[in-house]
Amino acid sequence: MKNKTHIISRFVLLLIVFFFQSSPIISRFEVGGVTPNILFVILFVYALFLKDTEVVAYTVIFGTLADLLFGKIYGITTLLLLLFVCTYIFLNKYIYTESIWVVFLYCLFASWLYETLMLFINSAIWQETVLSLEVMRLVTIKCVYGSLICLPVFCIARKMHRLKQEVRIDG
Amino acid sequence: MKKKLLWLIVIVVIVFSSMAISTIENDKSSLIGDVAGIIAKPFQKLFLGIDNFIEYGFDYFQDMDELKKENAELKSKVMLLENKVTESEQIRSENERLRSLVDLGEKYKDYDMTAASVIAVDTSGWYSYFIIDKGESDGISKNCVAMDSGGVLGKVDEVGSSWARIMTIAEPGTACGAEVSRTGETGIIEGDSLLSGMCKMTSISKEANITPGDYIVTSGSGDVYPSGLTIGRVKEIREEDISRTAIVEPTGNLRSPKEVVVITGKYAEDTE
Repeated sequence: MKNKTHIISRFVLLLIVFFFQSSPIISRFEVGGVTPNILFVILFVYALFLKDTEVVAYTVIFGTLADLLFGKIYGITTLLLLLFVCTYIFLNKYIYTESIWVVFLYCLFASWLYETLMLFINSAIWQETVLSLEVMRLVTIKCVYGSLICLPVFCIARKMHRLKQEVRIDG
Repeated sequence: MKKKLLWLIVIVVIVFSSMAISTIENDKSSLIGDVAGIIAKPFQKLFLGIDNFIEYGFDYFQDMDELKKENAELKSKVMLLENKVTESEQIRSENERLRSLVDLGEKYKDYDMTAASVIAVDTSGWYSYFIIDKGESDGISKNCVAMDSGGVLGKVDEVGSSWARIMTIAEPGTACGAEVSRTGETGIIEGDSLLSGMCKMTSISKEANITPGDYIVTSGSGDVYPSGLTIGRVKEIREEDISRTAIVEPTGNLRSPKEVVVITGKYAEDTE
């Protein structure tokens, strides 16, 4: 029962983040002309602490929703997010995720790769040249911004994960 | 483990199939897309309401401060404001502005227009799309033009029964005939969202009379954009091999659009 409540609350959090990110409110948090990809950050943190099946389910649901509402071709966001989440699940065994600075760099690199791949895919569809200093500057700002948001989210998630483990041991 | 892998493969196959299906051009959104839009709409309106509330709060405190400052300034400026030359200049420019608005309203009086609120913006943050709260049931169809008080924002890319998605003019894939308002020099406006919400005007001849600061308007060529709608202002001009390209900053609010007007139905040919 408690497990179901946790799953529902995590789903609701992702839902709130998704609609917050797509609402006009996000433009108030613009830095350097870009807004952060908070959904990506939350999925990244979830992948560090939750079961892989649950994270993959969230990725498919919210990737599909993003594609249906904003995608030109259904499936691109879903596939790309799925690729990254599966990679996190695989790499989590090998990366030291106890240090917040390692997590920051990990998130920064992953989000930079994600945004760059997304730009490449979109440019392949529209046959537009992608690489320019201005574009990479914007992508870097976006990724640093997202990674900075990841830090408090990760700390809260880690605290909750440890509390849960303590309760389990005591129980 | 094998079961999980099998599920993953099934999901990937389904996603690839939906990608293939979605590449088929349609005037309307697919059923599942329409359902997703209808389900998402109340949540998007909720966050729009929160944003409006925050803006109201900011405006309230800002207005109080501004009113006090304005009061002090006005007292000291009473004598200056009685200057007849300044007053007549203000009246003249206001008259010109109002006349152009009346002309625009007169020019497009035969067009059906519908006002709509923006309820969601593109999650990627590249100012490519936004969603409005009116759809097919309000007379909106694919390729209808959306604009705000600043100028053209884009055109309808996908439409559901009670929502529509607007592809902005900054998005690659949009193109419209344009001309320089001052000189009539023509070109093509193309989206370039990679320049953070700007677009570019291409196919400008080397001898064209165009300078930074010039207003760019739609030329009316093609069946999508009526003529005379403001697109933006020239920010920079770049020399190419055989032509020039102008970087245009849209005058419409692409970053955080709030209220838009959509031209619905078929518009008449410009007879002037």
